[in-house]
Amino acid sequence: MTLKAKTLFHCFKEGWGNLARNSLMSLASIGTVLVSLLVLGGVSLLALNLNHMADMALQSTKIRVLLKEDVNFDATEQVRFWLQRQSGVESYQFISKQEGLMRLEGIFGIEEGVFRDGDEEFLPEEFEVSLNSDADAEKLVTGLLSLSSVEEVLYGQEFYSQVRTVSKIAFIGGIIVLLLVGFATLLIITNTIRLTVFARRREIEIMSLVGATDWYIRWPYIFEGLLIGIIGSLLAALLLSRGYYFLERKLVNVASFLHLVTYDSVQLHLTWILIGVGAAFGLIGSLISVKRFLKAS
Amino acid sequence: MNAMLRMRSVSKVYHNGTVALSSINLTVDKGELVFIVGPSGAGKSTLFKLVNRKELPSSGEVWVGRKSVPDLKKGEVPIFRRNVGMIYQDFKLLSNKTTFENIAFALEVVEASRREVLRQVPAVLELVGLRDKGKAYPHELSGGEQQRVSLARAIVNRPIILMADEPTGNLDPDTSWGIMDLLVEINRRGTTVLMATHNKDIVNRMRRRVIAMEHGKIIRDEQRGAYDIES
Repeated sequence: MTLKAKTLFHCFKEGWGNLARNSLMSLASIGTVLVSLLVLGGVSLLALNLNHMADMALQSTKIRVLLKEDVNFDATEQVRFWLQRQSGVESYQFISKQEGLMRLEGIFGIEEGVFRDGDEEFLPEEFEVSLNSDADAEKLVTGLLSLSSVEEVLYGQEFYSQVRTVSKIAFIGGIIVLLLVGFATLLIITNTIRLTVFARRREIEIMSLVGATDWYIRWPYIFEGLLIGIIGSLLAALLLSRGYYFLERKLVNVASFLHLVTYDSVQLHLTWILIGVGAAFGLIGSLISVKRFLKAS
Repeated sequence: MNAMLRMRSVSKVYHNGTVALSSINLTVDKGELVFIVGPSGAGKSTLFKLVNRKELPSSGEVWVGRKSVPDLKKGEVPIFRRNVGMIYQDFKLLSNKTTFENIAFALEVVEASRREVLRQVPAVLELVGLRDKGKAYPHELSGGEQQRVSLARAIVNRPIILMADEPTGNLDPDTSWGIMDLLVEINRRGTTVLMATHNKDIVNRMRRRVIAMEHGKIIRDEQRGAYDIES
């Protein structure tokens, strides 16, 4: 597998030459990589945004941390101390039993017969917590529930888990579509490279006759596959970024309540993932086609 | 003398059931020039394929020098093939490469340095008498010249054994003798040469060892032999 740098460069040149010689099929391959990766990038962005919206919704509502009955001062302080240490907590307020009752009276009015003296004893003490934009709401809730003095945490779980479920379904659906499109992509790349290999079968036969190693024969086709995959992925990254900016600007005007993830914050990761998947498509496609041919020859 | 090629009880049956070789026993010594004769389908080409490991024997042993050819590991095969030169009736040249490039190709694929290429290629071109044809493409050369290029490519890696499969099959008698003279010269320089041929004139006039094959078997092995049995 070890080749001299000069030979590798020669193989790269050959791979690039193959791509240009077979331009129509190469374009078709690049096109299918592009479509596959647009699907991958698109569903990733959709899932990311749904998760982000769920987090934002959570951040905008206050979390109520209900304490167990008859907790002592130390236990209350334990919660307070824990909240102080959380970077995602914007502010918090302790609500005593008395204050809790006053709030209820504020909501339902203080007409006679609704609330009676001593009702406050049935109410739990609680903390009301506001989160900042860095908060990982789910983690915070889990942390709070692990504290011995916390009875319950109320935070609009239903809405939150529904959005999360939709996001998961979108992502899984996207992956299924990706697998189907990915299969077609691999098929087309494999056929494109097989065409090159077939066109150069005489050369390959002579190479193997005069003692070229299998890797020496393989490398140009591997480069060809990698180039198809990487060019397709770079185009996909570019289109996604332009498309996303456009969508972001449009949505700000028509639905400003939607908080979209900024593209800059995900661009680097997403681009690398797309390049990685694109290169893998190309690599697998070329290895399959050359392997079949080397076996046959 | 040392044995360059040894075959012991070699048989080859292809997947479709065709028996190409049957119980072949053969020893060729270092420095010999051997003609292999026989009708088409006698097993001559299969014998060559077993020697350069294009095919594996169904049974038996094939040794080139001290190497057991069927036991070579996959990674050892390319290195081994650099020691076994091959030429064919149809030359197997690359039409988009010049004479020089066709020969250099054999050095480049074994990762020889540019210095080596520039030293070796003109030397073999000189040997095969094509010094001034380096820039010509195969279609600009005659059949005999194309076979000389093919021969030059086969010997540029200095193989210890050279196998020629019907090298004069597409050539007129005079050109054929030109190729034969070259093979004799290469043999004189120490390379063992095996040549499968239908050319009676050459075999009868050369009077070298002749191995006659039929239906996958050796039916005659004669020193200073002729193409047909002499009564």
